[in-house]
Amino acid sequence: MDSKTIIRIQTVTKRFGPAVAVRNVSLDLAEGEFFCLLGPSGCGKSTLMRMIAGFEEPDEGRIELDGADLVGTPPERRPLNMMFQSYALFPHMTVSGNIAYGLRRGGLDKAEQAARLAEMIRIARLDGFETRYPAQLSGGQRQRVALARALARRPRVLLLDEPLGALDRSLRESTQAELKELQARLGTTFVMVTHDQDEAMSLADRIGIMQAGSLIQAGSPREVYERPASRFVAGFIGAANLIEGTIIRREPVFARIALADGTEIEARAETGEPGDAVAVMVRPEHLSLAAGDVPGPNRLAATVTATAFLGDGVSIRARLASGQDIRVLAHGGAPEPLRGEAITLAFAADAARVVT
Amino acid sequence: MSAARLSPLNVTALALGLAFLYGPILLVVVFSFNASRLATVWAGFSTGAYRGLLDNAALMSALWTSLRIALVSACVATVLGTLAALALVRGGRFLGRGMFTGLLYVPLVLPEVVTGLSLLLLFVALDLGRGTVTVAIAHVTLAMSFVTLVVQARLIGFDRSLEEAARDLGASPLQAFFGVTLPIIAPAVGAGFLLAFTLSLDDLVLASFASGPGSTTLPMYVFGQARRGVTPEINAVSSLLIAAVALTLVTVTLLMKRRAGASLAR
Ligand SMILES: Nc1ncnc2c1ncn2[C@@H]1O[C@H](COP(=O)(O)OP(=O)(O)OP(=O)(O)O)[C@@H](O)[C@H]1O
Ligand SMILES: [Mg+2]
Repeated sequence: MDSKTIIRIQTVTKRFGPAVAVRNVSLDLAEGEFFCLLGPSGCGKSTLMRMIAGFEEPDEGRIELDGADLVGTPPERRPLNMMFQSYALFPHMTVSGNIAYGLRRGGLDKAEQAARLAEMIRIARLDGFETRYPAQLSGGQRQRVALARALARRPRVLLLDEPLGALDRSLRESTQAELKELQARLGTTFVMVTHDQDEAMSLADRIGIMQAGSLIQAGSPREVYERPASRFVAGFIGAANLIEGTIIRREPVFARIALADGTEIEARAETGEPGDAVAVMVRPEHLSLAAGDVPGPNRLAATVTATAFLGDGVSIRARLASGQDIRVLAHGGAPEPLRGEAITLAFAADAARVVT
Repeated sequence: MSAARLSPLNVTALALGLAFLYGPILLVVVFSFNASRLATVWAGFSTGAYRGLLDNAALMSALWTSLRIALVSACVATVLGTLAALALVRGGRFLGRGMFTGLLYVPLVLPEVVTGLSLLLLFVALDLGRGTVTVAIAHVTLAMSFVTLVVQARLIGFDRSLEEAARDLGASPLQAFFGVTLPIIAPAVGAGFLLAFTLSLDDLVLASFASGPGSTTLPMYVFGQARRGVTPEINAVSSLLIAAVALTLVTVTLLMKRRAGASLAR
């Protein structure tokens, strides 16, 4: 990251009774970046966000904003705003009332408040809805009111907890594009929680993957997709085949792995010693059908269990000799194999990666 | 409810039940318009009893005492009851929370004679001169539980992220409470206030124990008069009380049904 760090999370731990919700998380957020927190339900994403917003205090570690410790500062005095998963719109206030709520305490004079309110109404495309109550709005409109309300104070960082979770698929996709565009235009740092990996991949500059309270990996979408830090990340981001085996030889960049049935394959490796039980990750699109009788490296014998025509390619499910299921995405033109047919799958050692 | 037909038996049972419940009340209202001074003999329609009320100094003074006590005790009970509800719902786990929640129901089921007697003992022990103040205190002890129960029900369904959103937007805890929480639970607080007000206005037993000379409440006056013979005037006062209570109960029901937002959506 070449830009300046705005939020620094240092070895933060949060416990609820005996349960550890967030475990020793360290993370730097750069000014103006769009960061997505991704992970299964209950892994501590909301808890981490709530600590940044000030609704929970960490048990250990510190959270800094522009180098100053935030711990002990109440939420109302943190220059950040949050958009809640349930939107948390004030039911007894109109659209204008909701958006202006934070402006009334922002140290702006009346004229500036009115100008900012008008600006937010325009940005959120809520013209004509100013005097409606939240109960009189559609889901998409409510979502925009919540966003406008959270942005009205021009926060340094906007925290979004599953902001699109309640929208249906098509609305969600158009809103994603709007959100990305808005973030780029305002230059505000966005930290967004989502459990939709496609959403994270398409929106984020960087993705952080959490598991059971720990931050497993943080990096660009390409980084986490191509170089997952663990089996968990590999399986969580995109579709992945994880082929179990044991390292038998280690070279600087590659490792040789023996599978249970004796087949030997080669893959890129950053960690692992001979004798280690590992998994080789191969993405479905990196597997291809090879003619069965042509010998070569990185060949896997398999039996087709199902196929599906996708228009631009064929999705194949096959079973390896070890009994493991494997997914292949063969590109257009390839002849569609039949169910039960014995096939040989090939992949480049470059496209395979050892994960532990 | 389905549109299932009521059988003749059901209709009869319903009619008898309602007659049993509301017949006596209806009788009071009817006889309040009696032209005769005798309670049991109908001598034609007249509104004389109602007009006579205003000239009855003892009755007007009792009414004034009752209203003052009801207003003060309802205000105090509403504030204390709301605070208690907040502590019980929001206070996290504190020692005796379950016990306190259970204790809320005690004033509801405890015979008023017992409550009255215990309060009387307390006032005597504290050497508090009995009068309007002690009656108001007695009414607060009774009404507070009702307020707490009503407000508690509303608070349990209250989405705390609304308060967090207010804090996030720059409000102090107090500003968030008065700007967001209170307006949203206001219908329940209002209902609690009205319940407390009617409970105080209605009460005879506690008032009898806690009152002293010069603090005769309206129910005490009515009871005292009725023992000497029921007059249309007494019926008229009772009818007005019935009307006040009925009106309050209807308002309370409407307030309790009111959903935040849904009702604001005009
Ligand atoms: N106030 C609390 N008291 C006790 N436990 C809590 C509290 N808040 C969260 N937890 C626990 O901490 C863990 C992490 O919760 P958190 O809400 O951060 O998960 P999440 O990643 O946001 O999940 P989801 O995707 O379902 O929203 C969970 O096991 C949860 O039960
Ligand atoms: Mg969450």
